[in-house]
Amino acid sequence: MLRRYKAIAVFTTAMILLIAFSSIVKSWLMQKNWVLEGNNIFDWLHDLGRYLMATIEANQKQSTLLLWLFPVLFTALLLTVVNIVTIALFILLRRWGSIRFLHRKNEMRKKVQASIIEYLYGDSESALEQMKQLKKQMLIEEIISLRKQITGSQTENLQQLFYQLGLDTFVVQKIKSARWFNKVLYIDAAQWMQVYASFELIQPYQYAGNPHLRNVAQMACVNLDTGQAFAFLNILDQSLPIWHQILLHKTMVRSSLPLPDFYSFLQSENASVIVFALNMIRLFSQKGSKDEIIRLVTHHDPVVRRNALRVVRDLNIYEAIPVVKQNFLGETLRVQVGMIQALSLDKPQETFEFYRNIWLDTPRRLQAEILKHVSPGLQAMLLKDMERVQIEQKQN
Amino acid sequence: MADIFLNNLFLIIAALIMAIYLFLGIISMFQLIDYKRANRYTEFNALLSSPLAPGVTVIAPAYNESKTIVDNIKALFTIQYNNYEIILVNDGSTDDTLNRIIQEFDLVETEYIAYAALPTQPVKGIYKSRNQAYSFLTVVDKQNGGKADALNAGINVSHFPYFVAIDVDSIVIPDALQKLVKPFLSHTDNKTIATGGVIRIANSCKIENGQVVQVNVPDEYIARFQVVEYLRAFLMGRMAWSKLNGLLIISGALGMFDKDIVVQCGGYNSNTVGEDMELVVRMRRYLYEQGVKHKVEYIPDPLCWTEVPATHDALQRQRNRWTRGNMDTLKMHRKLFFNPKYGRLGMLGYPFWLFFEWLAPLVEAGGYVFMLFLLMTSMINWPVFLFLLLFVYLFSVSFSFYAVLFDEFTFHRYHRFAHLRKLFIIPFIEPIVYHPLNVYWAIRGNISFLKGNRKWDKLERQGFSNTASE
Amino acid sequence: MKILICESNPLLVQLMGKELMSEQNEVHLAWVGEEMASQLTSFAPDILITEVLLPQINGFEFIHNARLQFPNMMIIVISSLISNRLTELIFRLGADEYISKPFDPTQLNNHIQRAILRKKNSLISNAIDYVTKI
Repeated sequence: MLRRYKAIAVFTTAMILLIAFSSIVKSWLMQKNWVLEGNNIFDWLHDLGRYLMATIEANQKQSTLLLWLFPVLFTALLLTVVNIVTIALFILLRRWGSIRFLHRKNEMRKKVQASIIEYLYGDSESALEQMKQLKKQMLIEEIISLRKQITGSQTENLQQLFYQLGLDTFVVQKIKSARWFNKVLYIDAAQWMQVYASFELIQPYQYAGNPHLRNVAQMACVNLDTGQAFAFLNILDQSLPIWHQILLHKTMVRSSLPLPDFYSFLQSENASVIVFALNMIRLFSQKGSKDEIIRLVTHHDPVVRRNALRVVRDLNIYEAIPVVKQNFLGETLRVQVGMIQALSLDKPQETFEFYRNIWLDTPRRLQAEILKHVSPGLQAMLLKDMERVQIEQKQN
Repeated sequence: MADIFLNNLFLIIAALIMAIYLFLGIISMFQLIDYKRANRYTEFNALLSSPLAPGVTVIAPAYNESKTIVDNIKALFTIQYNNYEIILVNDGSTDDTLNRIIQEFDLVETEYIAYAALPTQPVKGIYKSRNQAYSFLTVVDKQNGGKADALNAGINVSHFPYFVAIDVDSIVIPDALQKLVKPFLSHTDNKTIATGGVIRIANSCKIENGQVVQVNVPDEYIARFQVVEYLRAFLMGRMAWSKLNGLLIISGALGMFDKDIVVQCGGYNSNTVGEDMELVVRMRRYLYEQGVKHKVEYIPDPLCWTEVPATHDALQRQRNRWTRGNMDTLKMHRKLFFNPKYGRLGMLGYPFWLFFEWLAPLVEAGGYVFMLFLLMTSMINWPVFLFLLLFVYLFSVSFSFYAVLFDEFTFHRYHRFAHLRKLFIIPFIEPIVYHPLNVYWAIRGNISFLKGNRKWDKLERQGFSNTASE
Repeated sequence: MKILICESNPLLVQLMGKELMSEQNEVHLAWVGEEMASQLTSFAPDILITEVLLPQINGFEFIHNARLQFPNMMIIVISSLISNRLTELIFRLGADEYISKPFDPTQLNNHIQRAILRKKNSLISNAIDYVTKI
């Protein structure tokens, strides 16, 4: 709740603080003499504030509003000046690299990198000792970033290093406790380094509310689960956006996992899961029940229909063509484009006849789409035929 | 009595405006942090190899760009995306723009279909390259009809479900498409209908073969003011509105749209000079009427570099046009005003735009007049007046500083000391010099709108070829 | 042989450096955009190994410039870019060899040897063509 409205929370707190602070300032201005009397800058401010307040009070024409607002404005003014100075100083200091922790972080990262290289190519014992003193999160970040880019014998060395440093237990521990954006890092690490011990822990995150976390957990489980890698698809009731599908597909290709029978997910209640299953059937050319696919051509969700049509086209399901033709005119435009592409399976002459019969009932936009997406030969035939129709119309 | 009332009114307005800006700033900050966190480990490259990545059409209208057109198109070739096509629309140029492209890319006229989903000025020809390397380039030659009309013609011949509208002379960074398309692919409950990227200013930057190779703060002061202005507008304003889902505008220099929805609501409107804003408002209005949950998103990454007007005259014309475009759109869609049927758009986005983008300059001008009146009747309370003035001034300075700070923390594009020195001065001069000018131009825009001027002035650009030859 | 390796991941670039380091090779590394271009000009390597998806500078541009500057240099691109169209573009810009990520760094030396051999062969056959044409 608080996380959702954090901006409002921060804003209100800021306002309350401002008003609270301004009441302090007001009482400060009310006093004629104060503790630090004699300090030049503050005295000057104090006098200025008092002088302004006096003028406002003295001037009958000024409203009470201004009088009431004045301490707030005065405080805000002071804060703004402080703000400007701090920001400028901060940026400058950052540039000089003299903010210690930033500098140290960079140095540390260099040390981590050097010792990983040392481990792989030099004295691994001493490098290991050295690394034990370094920050674990940084070690994991670096090892994973390298692991993602390479294959071959060095990956085994990296994995060995990971376990020798005891990072697997660290990862397990961190998945439990870290904040979500760090959880993403550790779950990812567990997946790349095959920390099977973390599997039980990651499993529930497959249904997490945060989409980033959910996605990375799904990928991890696909890799770590030896039995039913895609079981989560049966349970998932959140949507599985294309982006997640792309990443899941990439994981599958990369680790060449044994594929499940994606046809078993086509009955799902969750439309995005059906879309995912259809995409995977298409990309891995899985064979299975054609009737299932044809049934989905008339599914109630247009996104499912569209993706089913792509399967029809890519897997050459000729049996679907009558169904497509039958439903063609009542469809939404985007699905119709899919249908036009699917119909390219059929013989050109048949398709030509089909388009010709429906041509006059077709809205212009759809006609344009048909012409844009059919094969060049068919396009020429249709254009020729259109000319004839137009000439006939003119003669009548 | 009247002057006390007015006094209070201006005071309340000023306080409200500041509070609102502060609030937007806070939202932006969180939004930026969230974006950074969410994308820290994102592999955008996955899009480059995936067969599931959707196709994207890049539509670039060109009018009399003969000097730079070839370089501009070549720059578009460096876009890193798997499945995309480039459609260049020659909007009835009177110079040799078309011939240059034909020669350079070995184009031949192809047969085309006279059907068009969106009505446009007649198309004279469609060209494709004989060279396989340029197979993804299509050039549409049409009669002049303005930018909106050219974009519509491009939409008509596009093949893919998403399209990107760009200014042909702006510099798109290579991974812009990946970043822009991601929100369309990762939305879960609200359908993403349009995304826009942050625009950065390319004046005085070193540009080679269509890529910014060295970032500089512009030499001309008038462009420098705009650097801070753009940082503020994009990193603090639009980010917040993206979060609040109240965005009304995707700037014409770079934006990606869902083609189906654009076509369904009739494409770009060629009767207004603010076609970029009008389209987004119309799309959203249409979807609210259809009852579709949707969102418009902004990506804080600097995806596009563009040359901004560097002379008084050019800038004045640009601002004049912006004001007219705003007023046009606001007038066309006045039904939205505080209409709960249109959700966030009607209750937040539209009113904000009305008050802050259109009325604010007028109110401010009113304030100046009032001040003059007080001066003449010598009713002014000088110390208090100066105090308030100082306060407003410093507030705006600190706001600009925050924008610079946001950039520093997130994308850090001005990385040299000399840049900082130049940037730090700007916020202090801007409220005195640049801001009043802006108010003046906005008022002139209002006047010319009332006079019925709806014409598009061609922006005078200095051309990148000059800067590149240094 | 003088080898320059450009890659944005500092760990990977060091790893490749270790793989290629030997008595006959002099290896330089660069993982910051500006450094890459300046190293290229000052070091004038025989072999350039580079990624194209680089932050701060445009990798395509970089290859193109490198080719213009040193017509005889070997350019080997190691990249996570998989798109066919863009790999074609890389070759058009003048790259000699393309290795897609993830790759096996221990095979890097072999790759380079093979690429050099191929380039030599094509040079010879070009020369023969040239001679026979005359």
